[in-house]
Amino acid sequence: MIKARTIVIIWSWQRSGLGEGEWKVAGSSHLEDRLVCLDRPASPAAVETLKKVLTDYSRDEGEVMLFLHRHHGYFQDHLKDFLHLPLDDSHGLVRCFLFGEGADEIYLTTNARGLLGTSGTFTANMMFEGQQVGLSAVADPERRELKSAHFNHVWQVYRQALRRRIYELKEDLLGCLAQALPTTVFAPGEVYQVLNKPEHRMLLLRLLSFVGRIRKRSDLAREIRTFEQENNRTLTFDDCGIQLETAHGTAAAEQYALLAAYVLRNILARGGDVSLLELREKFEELLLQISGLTYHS
Amino acid sequence: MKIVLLVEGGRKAPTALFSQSEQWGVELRPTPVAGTDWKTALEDAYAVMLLVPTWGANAYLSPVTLWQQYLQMEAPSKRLILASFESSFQHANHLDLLRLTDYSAQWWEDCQPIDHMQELPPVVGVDLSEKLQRFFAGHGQDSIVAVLSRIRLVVQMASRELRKMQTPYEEIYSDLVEPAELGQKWREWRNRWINYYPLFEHTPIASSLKQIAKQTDGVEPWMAAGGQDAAPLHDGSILEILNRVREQLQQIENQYVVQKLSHTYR
Repeated sequence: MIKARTIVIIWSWQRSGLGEGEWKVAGSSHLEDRLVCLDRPASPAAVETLKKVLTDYSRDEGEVMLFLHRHHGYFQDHLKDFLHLPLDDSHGLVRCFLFGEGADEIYLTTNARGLLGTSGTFTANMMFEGQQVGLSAVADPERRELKSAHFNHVWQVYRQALRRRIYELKEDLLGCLAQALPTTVFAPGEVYQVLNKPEHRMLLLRLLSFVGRIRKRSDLAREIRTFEQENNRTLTFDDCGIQLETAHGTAAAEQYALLAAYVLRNILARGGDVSLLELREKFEELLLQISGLTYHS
Repeated sequence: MKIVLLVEGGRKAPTALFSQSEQWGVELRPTPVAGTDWKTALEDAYAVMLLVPTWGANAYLSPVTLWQQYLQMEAPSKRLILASFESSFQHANHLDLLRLTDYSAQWWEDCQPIDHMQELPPVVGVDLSEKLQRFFAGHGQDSIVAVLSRIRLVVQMASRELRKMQTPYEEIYSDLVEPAELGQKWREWRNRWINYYPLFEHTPIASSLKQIAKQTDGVEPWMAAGGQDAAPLHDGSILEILNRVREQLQQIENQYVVQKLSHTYR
């Protein structure tokens, strides 16, 4: 049986006139796939509606991805509401993501096979080497059908999102600290001194986000968002431990906890030496627990 | 001293790698591959070292198969060495950057030349060999070559009408060029091009793609205007550019895509 795949996106759909509603995915092999557009600012009532939406669409092992627009007032705590929905085994997996400010892979302006265009649409114009290029995720506007390549790409990218983001953090962190080679063991506080340099600011913020040390609406949260916009990349790890547990099980959450504790104690505080080999091993152990490919070619 | 061309691939190799290499009798030369100088430099080199995965277009990329194919064709006696932070990468030609002191001058001697190299395990990152295949064959009729061929066909026919048959351009434009919607077709081509071009910055085809990008920039205004101006058709400049681009793309396709397919079928 083909499992239904549903993407639910809370965004400014009313602004463009597309409005709320369902879109199908073009192609006979995608009869069970759909995208649901909702335009509900965060409120207790909206959260209840979304819980019902997630419950309905995840029936019969259907998989659901929920994308919450930050400007609609959603933040990390909302993820917990949805990820901890008490669903029985007949329901498929539910994944939730926060997005916003045009910096995520779901946007056409960031990723040519994305879905969201400008102002509540599925189309966007962007400049490439001085030329304007039109991008669209719509296959047939009359039938409200989206291009399967775009739907599939976004689905794959977000399915692998955490694994990819953790892998990239590992590579970037080791790449940065390897500049001190042949030293592979740093005395307490030394790694923090390196990361605290202005040129490594973005890396430090990513690490802080990874271990859950960036509070919502804080200056650090704003700062990392600015980096995301400037770099057209998602750099934050919203509730990494919970997401890992929901999507990849307890073993993944445990490995994450071990790595996060090591980072908190030895990198972000002066608890002990930092060994690059140990740090790498902890990242690799965690990545081993996260199934799937890191990248979708 | 062994000369090794180092392709850093959008990343920065650890400085200790250079000093340590010197101790092994290896001169590591950081080598940009956007130009063609590196091809001459390769003649005197012992090996090409890739820092993998490479970084580009906001993702980690694996250009390994493309490099392997290039060296197999052009310099099979050279070595392809992969340097990375992976601890589990098991191969004679892999150098673990976090364990530099475990290596010796003998290790370099033992690296396998490309024509005797054991199969490489997969490298994490977007597989650029697959990407290239899709670039040429993706979506059948909508492949980048198919889109370009349709544009070229219209230009070729219009050019022949104008130069050989001496048909007035107003007539050619209204009967052939305008209905062909060249501006629209060109946008299609550019859309596909921008998806792919930045990915190959650190591969052996980077210089060819850069040339193609430069050449297509030259026809951009004419295409964007839907081919209204007769002059570039009359002097043959548009067709000449499109022919050159097609030729270069075909060369890349034959070298990296067709060859790969025939290997797979063997």
